[in-house]
Amino acid sequence: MATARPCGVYSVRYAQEVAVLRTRWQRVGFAALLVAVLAGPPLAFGSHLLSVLILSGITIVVMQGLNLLLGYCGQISLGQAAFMAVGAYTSANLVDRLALPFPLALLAAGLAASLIGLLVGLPALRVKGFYLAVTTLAAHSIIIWAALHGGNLTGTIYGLPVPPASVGPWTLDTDARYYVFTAIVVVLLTWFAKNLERTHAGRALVAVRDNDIAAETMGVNVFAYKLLAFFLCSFYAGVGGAMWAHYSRSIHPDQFPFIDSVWYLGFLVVGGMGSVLGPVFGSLLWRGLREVVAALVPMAAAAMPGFAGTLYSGLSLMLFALVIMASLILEPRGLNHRWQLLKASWRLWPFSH
Amino acid sequence: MKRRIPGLLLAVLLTAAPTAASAQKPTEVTIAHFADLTGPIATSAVAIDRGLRDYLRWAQEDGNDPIPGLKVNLVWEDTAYSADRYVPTYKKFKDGGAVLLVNESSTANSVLGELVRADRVPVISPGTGYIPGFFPREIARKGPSYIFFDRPPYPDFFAAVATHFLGQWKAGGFPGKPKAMFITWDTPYGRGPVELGTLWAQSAGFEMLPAQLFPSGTIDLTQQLLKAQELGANLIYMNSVEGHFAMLIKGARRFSMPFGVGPGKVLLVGGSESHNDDLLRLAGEAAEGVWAVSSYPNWDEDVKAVKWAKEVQTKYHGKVDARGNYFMGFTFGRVAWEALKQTAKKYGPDKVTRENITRTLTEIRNLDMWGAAPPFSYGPNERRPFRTMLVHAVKGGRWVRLATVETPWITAPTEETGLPGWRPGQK
Repeated sequence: MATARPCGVYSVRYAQEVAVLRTRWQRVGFAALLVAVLAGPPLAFGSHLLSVLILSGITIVVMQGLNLLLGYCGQISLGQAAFMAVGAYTSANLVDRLALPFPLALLAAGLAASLIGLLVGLPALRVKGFYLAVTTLAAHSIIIWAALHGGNLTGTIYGLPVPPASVGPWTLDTDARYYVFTAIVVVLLTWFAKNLERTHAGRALVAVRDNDIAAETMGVNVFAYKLLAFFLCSFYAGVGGAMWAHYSRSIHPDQFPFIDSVWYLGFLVVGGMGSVLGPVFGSLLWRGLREVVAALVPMAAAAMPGFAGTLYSGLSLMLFALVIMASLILEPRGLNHRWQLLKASWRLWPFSH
Repeated sequence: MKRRIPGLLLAVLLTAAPTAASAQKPTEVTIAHFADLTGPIATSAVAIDRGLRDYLRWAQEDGNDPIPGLKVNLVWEDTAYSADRYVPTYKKFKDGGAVLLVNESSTANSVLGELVRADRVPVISPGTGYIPGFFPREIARKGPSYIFFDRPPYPDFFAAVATHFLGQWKAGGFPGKPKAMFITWDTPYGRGPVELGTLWAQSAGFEMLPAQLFPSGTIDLTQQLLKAQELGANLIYMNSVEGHFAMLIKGARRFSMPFGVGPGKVLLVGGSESHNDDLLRLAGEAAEGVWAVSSYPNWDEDVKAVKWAKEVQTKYHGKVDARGNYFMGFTFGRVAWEALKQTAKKYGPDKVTRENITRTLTEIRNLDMWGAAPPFSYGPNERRPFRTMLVHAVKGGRWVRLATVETPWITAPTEETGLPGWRPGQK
């Protein structure tokens, strides 16, 4: 968006130079989009499609966090689902047992997950890549084990019922309300991620990603920034987990499987790492594919009953894998890059070269 | 004129036919199935799906068990045992007007339990690991559970087989308390019987040894078996799938642990998901003498459900797939069908609604399951369908029914409505 400048529009002030939305039409367009995103779906869709959008929104939040860690700082994590669990249990306990207002509980859920994320991030000073991934994998196992054995705090194998979320006088007990809330959180956290990218901290994260030794020689405190990335990544996951908990209204360790962390990673790559739109594309594609396959499989099974239902069902897993493989081969920079190319060609049309 | 008569008749018939057809058009209702056809419980889910599908098809075909004025459709989606698939699928089914839901797992119940309770949508489920489904909290404010289970909670499975074991121990005149131990999967499902089962067993006369839990991905149970050997366990219970139970059996054989009931011996017992022919294939000769507890018959038993299953599978699929969980699907189909039939009869075919079906389900008493399971009964707050469990043993390379045992109906301390059953602290 920052590069979208029509011919003849010049920055005459520093504020204009760094603005995300630079022209009036961009601001009008963005406002219109915001209104459409917030108001359109609740008016147009039933609870099924709203639930898909709510889950997509939660996934966007979780993936934005992962994007800050992986896309900007180059550190890997396979613990996003577990950090979600930390957030979910924290918020459930704070709202249910301490009657804390939900917005505060949401913040606390993010902070609780961040603290655990900091601990998990400590080995990042010494280990990289595959080894770091294994460390975060261990964190997943430990956190889910703790949830299973956490006594009254986690409800152990019985899980915990979660009260509906309330923001001020509004109880978010319908899909339409929850959707609007989710959309607002997504916009706010995406906005935060976008702005972080443009700050000193954001540039330091990118420097660590590109070459940590070079970054250190330039005075970047590599360890601190790696920890900051883990902190932010886990914060987003914790918020996403709390959002999930209050949407599903009950939580259980089984709801945070390891495979979800893998899909978050895979579809972040497909969406495009290192850009705030990447998680949006990745999440919508992942959720969209799941819905399409889920709808098509029973139809295919009915049309060709000779095949086993499992064959059709396996298609979703195969499709996800194929999408990730195709993306890595054909467009390793992800859908966001393709979107940028499309925008560029649109601006230059019909004089593209 | 003679030429005109057939023409007139035809015209009358053509104009009358649609009217007559529309007058007789049955009301259509939809049962929706969360089928976990991929994911960790796919093996069971495929058999469950087949049993449910076969029963509904059979009931509607050839006048086998029609419901006058009602046509029943089955819709399904592969939910892959995935928590975040259950929610949108549920919303889709609910928006689509499904009057009755069927799911296959405790995880599905953990996600959907409070949602269906709030929306008042009845569910039939085997996911007994979700204890709040049996004993929900805040009944006065939120109403009863809307999940109707096809079997009692997991602690009752253990209690049933432990009761039979204790009977044999006493009949053998063996001194002292037998020592029992759980070696089980460290998941909500695997640990389902541990907490309440331990409390019950202690009050029933067992010395309970510390539970040995193993994580997902375990490929060897040496550590757990050595502990059992060291502490002198007489009964080892595992609530898990057949693959894990086969691993336990082979490990015990490797350590030359003598199988049987009595001092110096150990009896290995598996939960319902171990009671199938796949266990015999996986464990081979090593399985001789082990027990399992379930509510399903063996495939060579002379009961109506088995005969029906063989006949219908041969007719619809060309061969018999002898998996125990097929009977789970059968019971879903039968309970669902009876609920719809009785609702249509009592309220009329056009009033087969979620609320009326729920009411009917709570009024079901002694529903004959043709031997696929004990007769089903529910109540206003009772979601346990029966109290009788079957104990099976492997003899001569096949499963043989050993005993029919009444469970104590172990009731969670959180239960609010005074349901019958044993409670912690009770002798």
